[in-house]
Amino acid sequence: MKPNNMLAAGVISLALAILLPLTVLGSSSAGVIAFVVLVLAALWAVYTIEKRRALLTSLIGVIAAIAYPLVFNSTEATTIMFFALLYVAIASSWNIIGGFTGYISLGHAAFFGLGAYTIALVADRLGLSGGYGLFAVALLGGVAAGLFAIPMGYIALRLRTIHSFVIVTIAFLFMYQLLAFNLQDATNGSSGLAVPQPDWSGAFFNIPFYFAALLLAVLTVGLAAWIRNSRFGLGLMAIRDDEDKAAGVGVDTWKHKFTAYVISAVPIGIAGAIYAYFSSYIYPQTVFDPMIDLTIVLSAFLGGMGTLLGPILGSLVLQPAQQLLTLYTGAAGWDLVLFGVLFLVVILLMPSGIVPTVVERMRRARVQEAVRKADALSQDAVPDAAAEGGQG
Amino acid sequence: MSDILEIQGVFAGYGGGDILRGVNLNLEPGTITCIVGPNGAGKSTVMRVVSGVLHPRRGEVRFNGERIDHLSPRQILQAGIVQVPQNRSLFPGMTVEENVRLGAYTLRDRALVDRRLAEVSEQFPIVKERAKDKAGSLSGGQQKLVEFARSLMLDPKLVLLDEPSMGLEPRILGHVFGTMVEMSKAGRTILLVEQNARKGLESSDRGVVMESGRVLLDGPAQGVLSDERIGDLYLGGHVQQH
Repeated sequence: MKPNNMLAAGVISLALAILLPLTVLGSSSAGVIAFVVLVLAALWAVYTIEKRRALLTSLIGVIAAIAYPLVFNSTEATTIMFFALLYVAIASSWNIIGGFTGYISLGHAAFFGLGAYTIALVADRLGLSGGYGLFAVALLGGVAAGLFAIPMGYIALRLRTIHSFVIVTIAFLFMYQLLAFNLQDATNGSSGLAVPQPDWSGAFFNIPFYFAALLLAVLTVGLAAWIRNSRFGLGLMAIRDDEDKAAGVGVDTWKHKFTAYVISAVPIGIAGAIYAYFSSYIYPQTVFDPMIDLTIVLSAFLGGMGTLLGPILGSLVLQPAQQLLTLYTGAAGWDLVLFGVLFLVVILLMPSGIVPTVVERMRRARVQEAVRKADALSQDAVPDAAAEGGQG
Repeated sequence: MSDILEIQGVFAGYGGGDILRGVNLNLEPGTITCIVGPNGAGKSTVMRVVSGVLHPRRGEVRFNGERIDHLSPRQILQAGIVQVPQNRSLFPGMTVEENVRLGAYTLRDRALVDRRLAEVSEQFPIVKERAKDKAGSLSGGQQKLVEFARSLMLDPKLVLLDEPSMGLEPRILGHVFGTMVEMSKAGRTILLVEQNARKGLESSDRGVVMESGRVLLDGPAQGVLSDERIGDLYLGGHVQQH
């Protein structure tokens, strides 16, 4: 068996090993099976990462995602995929600064919370009621996150070492959490804020949220892909590789990092607002939550930081696993155990993440194949090769 | 034809006294000039003065007749002088194509960059063959060729090569210097600094011998190569001034 096939088999077995017991435990396994199918589709996407097939793969992915709630319409199934798609958007957006430039922010949950509080406060102050119109207000969550990111990025990126950047971003997150707790008049403190609810009923309730998350995911991945293939993206990748050399070839490193930081805040702000609308009530500790940051980083890390597919794949694996564990084992925190175990497994077996590991294995397999063919050819033409060798 | 680069009476150093003490050097367009000399002779300092990293204390540097000795490295780059540094300067985690594209990062015209990339790929087949491979996975010699390719992305008139043989296996040196000769035949002027004096001079049109911050010998490369005083110099002796 070729190494890349072995790796794929390993990943699929791992996914099945986690999922099969859950299928037995749960009564409705539609969502779980669909999840397995999606993971397989994502894996297939990894194999067809070459540019000419990328568009086709994305199209199949989007069609599958559109068809999903029509096939699996239980509340559990749509909730699971709602969160998976929301995190595809969040992790892909985070990847623009964390993955492309290597500046790992552990404070992007601040933008999630800012988006959540924006929709709650705007709806409350303007006396808005639930409905499709509130999704437009969710966009304001993105605007707010982007505006707040300007001074935050300015401060966090003054420090040129990645370590200090990480610490400052964590500090930002806790600062916002404290503010949300203490600015009683605006945020209602620890009592939290309600977001007006729409009158959609039954299993349909999730559908508009599902498609809002899908749209956000598609647009964010599109944005990340566009940046990755642009001159700006080339500069970001150069910064990740070697910031001094990047400056040497003419990349304005500060401007690049700052712009990437601000851009990456916007979709996360929108995601926070959609989440707030979906969950109907927000508290400082649930939207300014360090667990959100860990989930983002682990999703990107598992799939492969700095690649376009990595955060998508990571979110499609982690979110359903987390949701299912919470669903079937209650709030006992088994999802945290899973995160811990997965983190260790990834660090031990493929420290650069699934996508880069698979791509590298494929490249090696191709090189070995080429060498084998060349060997076979040179054995056929031994006298010629000997003559050439004599000249060299 | 008038000289593309004129260095006249240049004195320059790093604060602890002058390294260059009255250097005069003129480069004809489309030629390869190789500077040789013992350690500390000031070869690399000449490069730094031309590329704008070090400003001379006295003297003039003219490029196409215009004074450039007061310009910043970036301005000198835009004027058409590119340096390929001594150490490995590629981004090892990025692909070969991305590395070459970064050579034209200061250009905003994407169509122009694409066209240059196509031209450079023609000239350097490795850029096409290994386009999607990480630069860090190439051998030292291959990386040097990609660095050459990258330096041509801004279509420079003058290329400064600082010790291209550094850290390379002897058997691929010929290929690297051969590529340099091709670059020169394509109309670029090359200023080469080389520890491996024999190899450097063999591939050059003109040889310049420096010692203690001055030019001691300046003439056709073949002549410099066969000059017996060069041997003395590299055996640790000193050139006798006439």
